[in-house]
Amino acid sequence: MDIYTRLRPSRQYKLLELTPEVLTILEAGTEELSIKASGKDSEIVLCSSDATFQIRQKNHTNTLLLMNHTQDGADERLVGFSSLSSELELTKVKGKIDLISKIPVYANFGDDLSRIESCGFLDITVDELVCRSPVSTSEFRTLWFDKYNGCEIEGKAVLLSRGFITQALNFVLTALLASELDMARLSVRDTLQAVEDTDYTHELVRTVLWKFSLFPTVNEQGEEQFSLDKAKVSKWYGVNALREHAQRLISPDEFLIAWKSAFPPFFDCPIDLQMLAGYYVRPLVDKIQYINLDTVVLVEKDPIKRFKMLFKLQSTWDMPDILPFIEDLNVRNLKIDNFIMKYAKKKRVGKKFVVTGR
Amino acid sequence: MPTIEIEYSQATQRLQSADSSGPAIISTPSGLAILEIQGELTLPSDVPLDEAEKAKYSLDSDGMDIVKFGKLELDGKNATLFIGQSQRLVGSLIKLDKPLGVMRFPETTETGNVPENYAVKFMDVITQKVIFKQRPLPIM
Repeated sequence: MDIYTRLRPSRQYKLLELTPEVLTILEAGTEELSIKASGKDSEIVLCSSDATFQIRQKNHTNTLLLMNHTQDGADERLVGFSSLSSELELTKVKGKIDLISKIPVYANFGDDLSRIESCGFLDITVDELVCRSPVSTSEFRTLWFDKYNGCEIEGKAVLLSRGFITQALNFVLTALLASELDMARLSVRDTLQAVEDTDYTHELVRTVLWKFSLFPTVNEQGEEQFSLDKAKVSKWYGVNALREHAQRLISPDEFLIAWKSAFPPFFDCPIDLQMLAGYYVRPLVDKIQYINLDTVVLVEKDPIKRFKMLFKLQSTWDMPDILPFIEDLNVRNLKIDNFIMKYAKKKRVGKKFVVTGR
Repeated sequence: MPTIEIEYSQATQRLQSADSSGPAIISTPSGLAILEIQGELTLPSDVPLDEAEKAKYSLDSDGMDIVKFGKLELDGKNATLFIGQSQRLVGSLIKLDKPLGVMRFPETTETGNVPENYAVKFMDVITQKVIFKQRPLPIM
């Protein structure tokens, strides 16, 4: 067959190496796909509804012709219409919200927008923020509510402080207990009715429900339906109690009493020190102390220095207790035991494993 | 343009239709194929005026100038490409490690601006290519 090519190949085409996940989406044809970037020079990603892929350009020096194959009787030809010197490659990444540091933070309940205590200044809606973040919609919601305490107030994307969330959570929980609503089937509308306070907007209640529930389903009326996750609530109050005693060492028994008394009256949920792994260290065998994972531990990216720091804080760690402090370092996804052995010693004590320095 | 929706119904339709009888084995049912040659292919920039030379030139279905630069012969998975009168390339039809999605971006305007209603399309998915890895063999 004869081979032709255009004298001026089109520049409109790109070839994208498809991962099995993306190919499945193309085959099914039901999910949305989009290309996103947070700014002009930032990285470009491909997003499905729940996954984010970084797009990278791989250049090569070969001539790669994209061709149209036609057959007209005996005349069979291949006509090249685009010549490509690169292919695009996808790598699955964790989506992120680049602009998060520029979002204003509400410190106290009842603050008006002009008195926001923070360096944030970006004035955009949550929908705009989703558009401008290299992250899939589903990942965005998890990050926005779970990690950053995001909310929308007067049409602006804002973050709420821990104190703000605690106050709102107390209020919502107390109202829910009084209303006797089914905590496994909550909608924002029903919860708002139970709360009966005009200071509580739809968005604020939604933030509280997202933050302290399992991933919502959609009910018959098309509303998000939440099932309150007592473990999340319990952990929130536990971390609050730890922070209150941050200045001194506290015995586990004394701490559990402080934790139990932090809940709103009549709210019953299980507590277990294990739930707070990653938020405290045990400098002495029978004393614990709060530690801020984000600002103290995770900033140290060198595994050797990180482990050294951890063993300075606490010489012997129970295996489950040390995991939240080191998991982010295991970038090559080694089996976690093997990863720990590279930097520390693992010993068997009775029935459990402990980790110590070398 | 921080977010651009991708339109991919055409690719889905193609993938879902069981019909795999394209014009030939080297292209997808919608007629797309990839040909890869090591090195650069130098093309004339304009159609020459010389009548004898002109025979190689014609127009494609979009009315764009095209030039015939060779002849491809397929024998099973083996491919031979004759370029001009004096070169022969030996290659093969191979399955791609990762299927390639063919994306079409809209034409940018002359000022380099992105047009309104910017839409990116997935046209098709290609799973094989004809590749010529070896050096050209001269024909005497």
